[in-house]
This record gives sequence, C-alpha cells and structure tokens, in this order.
Amino acid sequence: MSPTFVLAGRPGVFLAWFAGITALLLPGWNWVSEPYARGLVWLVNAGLHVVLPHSLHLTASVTHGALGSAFVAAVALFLATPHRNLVWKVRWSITVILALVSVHAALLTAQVHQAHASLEAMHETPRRFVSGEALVSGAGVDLASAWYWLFPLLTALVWFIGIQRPQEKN
Amino acid sequence: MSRQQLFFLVRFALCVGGLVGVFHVAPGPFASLYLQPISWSTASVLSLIGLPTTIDASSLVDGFCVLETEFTLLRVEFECTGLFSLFVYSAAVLAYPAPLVQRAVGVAGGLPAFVTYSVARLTVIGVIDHVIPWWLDWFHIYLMVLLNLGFFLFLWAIWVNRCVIRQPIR
Repeated sequence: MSPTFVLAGRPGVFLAWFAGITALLLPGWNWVSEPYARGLVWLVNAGLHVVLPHSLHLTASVTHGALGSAFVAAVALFLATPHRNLVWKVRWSITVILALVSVHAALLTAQVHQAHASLEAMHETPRRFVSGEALVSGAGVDLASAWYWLFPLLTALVWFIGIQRPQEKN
Repeated sequence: MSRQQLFFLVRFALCVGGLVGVFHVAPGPFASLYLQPISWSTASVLSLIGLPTTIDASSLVDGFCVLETEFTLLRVEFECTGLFSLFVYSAAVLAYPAPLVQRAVGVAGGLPAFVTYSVARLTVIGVIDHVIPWWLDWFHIYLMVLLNLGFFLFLWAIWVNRCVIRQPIR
C-alpha cells in the first residue's frame, strides 16, 4: 500500500528539532503576545459590530496567554519538518498562523455571542465585557476551551496538506 | 491532492470531533480511567524520588485532581493530561487508510505512550516547582501546551513507519 502521508526522516530527530525550536521561539512569544492580543480583540470587536445588534466591546485581553502561545508550537512544527526548504517552511508557517488566528477570533466571537444571548435571556443588556471571566460566566460554557483540541487539529490538518505538496524549487 | 488523502483529512477531522463529542457527553469515564490514574502515578513517582506528594481526587467529578506537595497544590485538569492530544493522535491513526488490525495496534499503543508521557511531564513540573519554582510558568507552557503537538506527530510517524509501511528501524 502506498502511504497516504508520511513524515520523512526519523521521528526521534524530528521531535528533538521540534522541542529545540519550540524552546528557542517561546521567549519570543513574550514580545508578540501583547500586540497579538490587542490585534485579536480589535478584530473580534470589528466582527461584533457586524453580527450583534448592540455595540458590544471586548475591553481586555481574553486570549489566554498559554493558549495564544500555541502559535509557537505550530510554527515550530513546520520549521522542524525535515527535507523541506526554507520557502516551504515560511510559506506554511504563515498559512497555519492565518488559519489559527481566524479560528481564535471566531471562537472569541462565538463566546461573546453566546454570552450576549444568555444575558439577554436574563433581561440584561450588556454593553461591555471587561474580562475573559465575564465572558465565560456570561456564556455559561467556555467555548475558548475548544482551542485545546481545535489548535492541534487545525495545525495537523494544515501540516498534512503541506507535506503532501511538492516543495518549491530553490 | 489525491482522493485518498482528501478522505483521510475529512475522516481525521470527523474522528476528532466524534471523540471530543463523546468526552463532552460522558466525561466521567475519562476522569476515573485516565485523569485519576495519571494523577495517582505522578504522585507516586514524585514520592518515590523524594518529594512526598498526596493526591486528592474528591474533585474528580468536577474534572480535576489535586496533588499536594510539601509547598504547593498542583491542580491536574484534563488539559494537563494530554487527553485532547491523545484524541487527535487516535483520530490520525483511525482515519489512516490502513488495515483495521494495524489501526487497533496504533490506538492501543498510543494510550500507554500518552499515559507515560503525561506522567513524565507532570513529574517534571513537580520537580521544577520544588527545585526552580521561578521557571514553573515557562515549563508549564512548554511542557503542558506546546510539546503535545510534536509528541502526537512523533508517535503517529513511528506508527506509520513501523506498522503501515514497515520501514526497518534505523
């Protein structure tokens, strides 16, 4: 049988590279995390104006630092993939980042939407949420926790698609 | 992308969704058969290496166990046990176009591997908390969130290489 998807090279070497690259990139996340959180909240707020009748705003970082740092692992995965050139690694790293940002923003939007609906059902009209905790308690269900399985699922899907594509010529 | 590859990706996503759905419908068995043994094993290993640790499983119904060390209470949740990465790994094996027996071997082999991996991670966290507590946050993100992705693909690659395409050990 011809294998559908295969990781070329030794899995142990791949894991060692992945662990090393992740360790090197993680400190860099501290520099990026705040601008990322601000950008994501701006993106979600922009989306909320479209999907909700009220001018609902996120006013604090609700992105959970530990969850946001998953971007580091996603990029490290593509950088650690053996037998691929730099163009391939950069191109697919950007692709997975865009995919993850979209899902992260969609999850937060869904969370706010659900919180809004449940608060409206209690005859309250929320205008602002001040923290992630307010979102969670308002929604009743923490949709952002879906990130724990959506992140590896999405990253793996993008990776599977990436490794079956022929790499670009140098 | 070939039809076989496309089917794999669809089956993979559906399998992850199915496993997460089962977990949300009935988290009880996962708590008593996965979370608790991992927490208990971690407490045992930590005690064995000279860091006396007791386990409080009274909150198991709420989805967590508490490990009490000399100085700290460690709250072990499903996310800390790599359960969602195990789901993603199992889905990648189940969705792969391989004979049923080989897929069963992959899933059956993955479970103890993930349990061992999770106990090792939690033990390292316990040791770091005792020896270099100021590094705890960094290691918590690194070990609990980021490494899972690499470990799941490492195991999956071993399974594909050894069981599906029967590549000799190098």
